[in-house]
Amino acid sequence: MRILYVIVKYLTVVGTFSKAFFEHLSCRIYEVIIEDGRYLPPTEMCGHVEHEIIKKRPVCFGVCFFPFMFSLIIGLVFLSAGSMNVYFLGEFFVKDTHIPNFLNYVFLWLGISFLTNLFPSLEDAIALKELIYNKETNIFVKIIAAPIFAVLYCGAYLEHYGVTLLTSIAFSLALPSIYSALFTALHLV
Amino acid sequence: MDENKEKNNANEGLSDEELRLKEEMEELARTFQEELDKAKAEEEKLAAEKQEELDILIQEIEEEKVDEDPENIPEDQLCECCGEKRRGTKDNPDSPYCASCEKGLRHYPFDFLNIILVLIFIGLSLFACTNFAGRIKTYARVAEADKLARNAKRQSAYGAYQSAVQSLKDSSINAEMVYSRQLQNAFAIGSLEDVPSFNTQFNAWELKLPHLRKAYNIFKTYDGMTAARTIGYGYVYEYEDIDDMSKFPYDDIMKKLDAMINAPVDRATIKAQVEEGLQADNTPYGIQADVYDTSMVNFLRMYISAMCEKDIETQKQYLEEIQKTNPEYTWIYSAMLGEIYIKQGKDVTELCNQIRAVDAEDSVADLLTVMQLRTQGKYDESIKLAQTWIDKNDTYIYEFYRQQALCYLSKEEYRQAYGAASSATELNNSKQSYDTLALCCLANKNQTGFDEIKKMYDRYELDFSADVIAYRDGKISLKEILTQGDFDV
Repeated sequence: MRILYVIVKYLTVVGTFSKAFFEHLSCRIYEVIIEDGRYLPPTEMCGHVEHEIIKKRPVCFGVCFFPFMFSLIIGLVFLSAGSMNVYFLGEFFVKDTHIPNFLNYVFLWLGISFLTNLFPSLEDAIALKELIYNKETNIFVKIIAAPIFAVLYCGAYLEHYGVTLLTSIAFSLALPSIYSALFTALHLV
Repeated sequence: MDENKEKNNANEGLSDEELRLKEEMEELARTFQEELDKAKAEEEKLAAEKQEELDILIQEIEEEKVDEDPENIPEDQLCECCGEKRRGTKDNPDSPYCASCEKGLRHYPFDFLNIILVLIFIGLSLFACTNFAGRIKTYARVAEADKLARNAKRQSAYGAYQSAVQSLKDSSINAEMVYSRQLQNAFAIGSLEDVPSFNTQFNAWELKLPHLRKAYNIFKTYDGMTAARTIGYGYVYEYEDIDDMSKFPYDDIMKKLDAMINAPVDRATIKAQVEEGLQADNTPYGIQADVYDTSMVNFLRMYISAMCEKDIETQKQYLEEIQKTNPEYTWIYSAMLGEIYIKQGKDVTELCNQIRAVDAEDSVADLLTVMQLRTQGKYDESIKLAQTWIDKNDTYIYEFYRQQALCYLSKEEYRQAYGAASSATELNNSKQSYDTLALCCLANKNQTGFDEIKKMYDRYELDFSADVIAYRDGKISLKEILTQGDFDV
């Protein structure tokens, strides 16, 4: 399973690298001790930075959530351009030439890369679960955090088994239909 | 008192203006002195704080220096990071790191190259964002056309695709998937003349790949249809000089057409026709069909049987064959098959639904409904439905007028019938339209109008239909014409 995980991480190296960078940034902001600052080791920590076990709930949430959010935003931007140009329009080649439109393919790959590497490591997700869903936590916090937590927790598991590559590819295929429905609903023409 | 006195003495001999100026200068000097004192005090305070911090730091370093000798520290007590100092800090004695290492790890430094790379990705994402935003209108146009095509509004989709493709051309976007969808829509409404215009839209080698497979199949079908049409009409053209259709070798030609079913295309004949200029060589990308298109062969069979005035069942058989083989080719068979069904008094609802499923905007479905309503005696409904398409100025507007004329005749509203029939003949010169007008003239007792049509028929060596002649001779009533037999003139 680790081999599959590492292969997926290296296939989507840009997203892996950026996710680790954003995680590093979050750890620095929250002054969390980073024990191993390598972004792309061929281990289960590929795409994550190894840090101390976080004991504060807001810090743990921040370290899990902000890298997810940054990667999601950048990934959506890349995927929107790439997916619409490649799948929806079919702009495979530069006009009147036989030169492939590499930029569109790069956008698509970057989008898939970023969206494949959205979620925190499994350890962080479990730590977050323990910090949020314990006896001491206020019920309102539990309820409010539930949707985001569910996404992060399930995503962490999917990413751990390399499934997020498939989900992001599927999402890239579905995105033109989503935009198409949105544009026609908004009557942009 | 003395001070005031001195002041008064010093001020003596000064004018009011000089006095005011002096006071202002003194005020300014006082304010300046106050601000200077304040700044000095703040600086002293800051210096003291700094010194304090420095003292703490020195103290910490000195504290660390106390047990500096790593040889004196047991190995399991050494800092995990530097391995030189004792682990643990004031705040966290269980920490595996010494104070200075922990401080460093909490601010783990970024590699400069990593920062540059991430900035490049962020910059690239901004570029992607502008690319996407700049194309939103184009995406929206294409999405609108797709939606119309998806909802089977083929005619509207046809226009919408043209507008979208123009927008793509203006933006120099080579959108092969959009061209493919545009081609599919054009083919679905039977706009075969558009197919060769897609000759430059794709890369030839790409057409066999799965994403453009539909376009490839259309080109192949188009070639099969064109080939069948070329060969089939070629058989008919051989006998184009025949005036008497009884001399037309119907059976021989039908045999030849039968032999075309699933037969390989006779390329040599087609090539010869192209070289003679009888046929344009417009096969897109040179994609050639292996066999003749069966539906087109069946259409030719129907066409020749109609030309030779064979019975309606024979014609129907070929049209139903097309319907069975390619139900989506409503543009080939629906109008004629529907008309035959109406003449036979058969219900066309199912056929109309089939037409609407392919193209919800195809007026043939409503034209057949108009005919059916008329034959069912629902004249007002028929007239109303026909009027909606007349108002839209549809392609079949003349036929809707003619159907209205027949409805008015059935309702014995002869003046309106004549008006509608006149409109039909103004828009279309078919014999059926003139026969209807002649019937209306007779019903209105407009002998002059009837004679004019007769003169025209004589000029073209045509005869009125049997029903019109029978009505003129008083052998049949209007009611019998419109409610019996084929329900038409």
